[in-house]
Amino acid sequence: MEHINEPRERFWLKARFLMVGVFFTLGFVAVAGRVYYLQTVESEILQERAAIEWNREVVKQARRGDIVDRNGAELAVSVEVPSIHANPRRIDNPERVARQLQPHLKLSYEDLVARLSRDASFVWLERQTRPSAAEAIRGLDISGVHITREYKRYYPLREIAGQLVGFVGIDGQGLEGLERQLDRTLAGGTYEMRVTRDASGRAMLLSDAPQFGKFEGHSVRLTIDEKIQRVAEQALADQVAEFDAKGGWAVAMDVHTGDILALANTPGFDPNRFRHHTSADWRLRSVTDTFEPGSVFKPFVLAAALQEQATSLDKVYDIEDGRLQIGRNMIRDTKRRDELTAAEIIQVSSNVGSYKLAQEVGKETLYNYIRAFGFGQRSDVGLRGEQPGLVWPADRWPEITFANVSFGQGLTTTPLQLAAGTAALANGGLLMKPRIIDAVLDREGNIVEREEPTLVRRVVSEQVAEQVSWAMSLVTIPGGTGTKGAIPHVTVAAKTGTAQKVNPETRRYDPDMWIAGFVGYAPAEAPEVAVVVFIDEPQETHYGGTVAGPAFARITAEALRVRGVMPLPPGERFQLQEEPPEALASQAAAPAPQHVVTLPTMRVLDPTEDEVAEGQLPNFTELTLRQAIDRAREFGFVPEVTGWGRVISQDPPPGTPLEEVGVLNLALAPGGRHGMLAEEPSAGGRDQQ
Amino acid sequence: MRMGAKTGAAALVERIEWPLVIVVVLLAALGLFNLRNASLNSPASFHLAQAVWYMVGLGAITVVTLIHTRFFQRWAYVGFGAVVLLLVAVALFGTELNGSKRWLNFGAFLVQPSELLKLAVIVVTARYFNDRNKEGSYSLRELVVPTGIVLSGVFWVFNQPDLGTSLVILAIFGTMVLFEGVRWQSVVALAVAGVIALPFGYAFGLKEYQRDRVLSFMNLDADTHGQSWQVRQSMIAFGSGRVWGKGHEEGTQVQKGFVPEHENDFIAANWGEERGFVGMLLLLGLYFAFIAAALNVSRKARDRYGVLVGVGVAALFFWHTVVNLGMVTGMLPVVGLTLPMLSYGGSSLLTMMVAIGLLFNVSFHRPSYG
Repeated sequence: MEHINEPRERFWLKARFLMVGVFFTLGFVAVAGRVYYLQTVESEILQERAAIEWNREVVKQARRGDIVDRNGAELAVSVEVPSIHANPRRIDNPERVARQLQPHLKLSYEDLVARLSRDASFVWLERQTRPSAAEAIRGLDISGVHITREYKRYYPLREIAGQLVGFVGIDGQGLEGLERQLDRTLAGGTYEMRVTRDASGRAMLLSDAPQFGKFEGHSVRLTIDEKIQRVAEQALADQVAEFDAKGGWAVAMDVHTGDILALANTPGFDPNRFRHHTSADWRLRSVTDTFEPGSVFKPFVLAAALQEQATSLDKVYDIEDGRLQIGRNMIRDTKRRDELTAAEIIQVSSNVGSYKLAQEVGKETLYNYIRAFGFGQRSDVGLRGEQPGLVWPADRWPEITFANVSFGQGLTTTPLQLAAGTAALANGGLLMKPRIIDAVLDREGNIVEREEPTLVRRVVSEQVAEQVSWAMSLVTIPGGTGTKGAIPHVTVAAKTGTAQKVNPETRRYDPDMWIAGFVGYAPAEAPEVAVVVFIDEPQETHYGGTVAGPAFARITAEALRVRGVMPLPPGERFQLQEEPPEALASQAAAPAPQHVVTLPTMRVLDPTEDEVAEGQLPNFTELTLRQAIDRAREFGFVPEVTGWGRVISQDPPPGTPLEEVGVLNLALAPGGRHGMLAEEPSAGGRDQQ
Repeated sequence: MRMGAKTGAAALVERIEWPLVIVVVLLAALGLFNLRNASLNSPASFHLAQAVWYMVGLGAITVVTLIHTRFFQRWAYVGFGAVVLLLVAVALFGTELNGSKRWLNFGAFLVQPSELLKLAVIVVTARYFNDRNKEGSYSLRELVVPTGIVLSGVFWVFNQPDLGTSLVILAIFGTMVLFEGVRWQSVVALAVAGVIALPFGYAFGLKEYQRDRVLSFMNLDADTHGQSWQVRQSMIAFGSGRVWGKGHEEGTQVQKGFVPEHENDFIAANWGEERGFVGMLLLLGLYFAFIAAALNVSRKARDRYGVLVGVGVAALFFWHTVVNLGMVTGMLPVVGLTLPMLSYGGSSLLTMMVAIGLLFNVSFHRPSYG
């Protein structure tokens, strides 16, 4: 081979080396430029991305605390269950993976393929699935398909106390009932784990893995007794079925502490399957629904009259043959009688007699007693959506309303309020604040917080209370209206009621719509538990004694049994076949009430005067449908409305910035002033027991 | 073989291209060190296996250096033909992995004949132009024959399919041809034809996955699926390295497995993340030094064969380095080219070592010693 020697050739060779060298240099400069750009200019943005990609702060919800009854029986627990998720980016063949997974999952083949083909690095395939399915999928060992553990809320007692307990969403956030109300207490903390992940999203390294336990939510112990609750729900369900009723409510209460032992609603619902029910079923109607109580209200009138020393149990009243004309209206009794003693007015449930007792007390004073027994205001038991009920101030009572109020029409209340008021009679005249939460416990079971029984006020003297008990005991013996509520070997103080309902369509009292009620307590001589039972819209017969009485007896008997209350020796029991004992009959014996609080007259809400901060959603509560819609329009919304009557709750809540409001949901419920707004004044006298 | 017998060991030492030795040793050391860190969380000790391949490569360099240059020139065409036969064998009996047939299974190990083709093309092109020994530029017609020879090999590689290797071989050939000199009219004509052919080639010449790669490259941020997912992760690694790097064993983006193929094609991401822009400049400097040393060997070569082998090996390193770094930094589409000396893998490393051997061979057998 020749050597490259000639000068011209050498020049060209040099030139070509130079060109190649320049070309190569340019290539390297381009790469260096690109690297410079990535590592200085773009660096921040890329680093942020990196942080998102691998140093994810995984926020995990700690285990939610339990909800247990007063004896520790679990009403709501969290159990660890597997959840299946996938990284579609890691799945090359969605069809094949879907075929492999389908037998173990609920999703259809098509849905699985669609999810696995999504342009995302994370999709759920099935949350909170069966452990066996998770095991099978683990066995398949498909790249890109993962299993994590989540807490699933489980309600072991199913329908028992379903509305009370409520439920949580799939992410463990409380949505209804106590689960929602106590969400903060139960949820506990979240803990952030710095989880370093590899490209497929698998957690590779847990940095500073915390002691998860310390973030665990607190458990809540209720005053509910699962055994009494169970019987209450069963008894209600049986009565509802027998009388083809719309529903029923029952409350059982420890009269000394105000502890709610049972808070039952029928139809019930299973929080495990809350999606299978409508939101109407989720409501805890025994505190959210108001109605006119009817004759079960009469003992409070008697108590007021006795406390005011305006009457005595053996004072005889002219019943006017069971017919009394008041202006254009007439009040009637079921049976025509000439005269009754004060005690007998309760025993046979005379409307005319009750009006006469009320007249002895006077409008203003009766109103004060009604308020003192806790009506027309929230008990602050701490249950979401509790309604105050409505009691018009006495100066707004025309005579017919005064008469109606004396037998429990023309005012509204909730089953819980009635239970608390009745328990005050049972508790020697002391009104206790209803208690639903007994204690908050940490995971070791130590008490973190305890809600002590709270005395609200003395309403009547102990002696008056005993006198009323004696009178109420007549109800459950032969000759009374509530013999179906009797319990062998125990004196039961009770009162029946058959209240009229306003038909939401006609807005008048409907002759076919009734609420049958039965309230009382036992043992009458030394009361332990108070029970109220209401059956909503029973068909065929509607007498409180017949419809609600048997349920009352079952619940009360069970409560006495569970609470270990022994029958009293015959010598200590009321002698009901005779005249009231001297001590009880005596008029002078009643001391003046100690703590009767005269409450300020209720302010009639003028919804338009509510202060609303600029740019925030106003409060719709208590508005009528029309007012609510007008109001919403002012703010540019057309609300979604459920129910009828007045607004009892709204979503989003008041004060939410307007721009965050998507859909405004309003829930309405009857009650409130509805009964009194009936076009026809409460034409009393329809109350029949 | 002609050895410098006159002055013994001293002469032998003189005949070794020491700058090249230093650069190669530095690159090898950097490569092994980087591979160690990149595979920190891998179950396999890639750097140890790679060290073994370096030993094998060292043997290959020695053997290639000592064989006389004329041997390569004489057997160039035969060797090239043999490589093409191997490629045909791959097409017929090759082992298919991930949808392409690139490997011949010899039981104990897999051989990738397309790697051999890179070397064969360098040698055969050098031999061809050495034989023509033409002064001045070539016309297109004169280039038909060498191009045909090269295409007879590239055809099989392209069909495997292996777009990256095909392109890099054509790029090496093209660099050598341009170095030899082509009439500027011809270059312009080729460029115009290329631009016209591009859309047709994209539509009919490429496999679907290759089109996907191009598409995903065009649209880096929109699609995080598959190809550009890799690239995005790799870019994040570079970006998080910043100017000074995250430090020793701190390359979490790579080491935790976010960057796929981080021991092979995407190995530079680890260096970029751990050592930052400064480290990347060092690395680029080493490659640049290597290419400069290769061109220096070429410049001092005694004949056109030597010159062209030097340019060819420089081009091999240049294209591999620039295309690889371009693709891991998101500047070029992912075509599956390794980073010379740094990427893990016996085939790639041996190819590079043999190419280095060819350079030593050219400098070792310069006429002054022969």
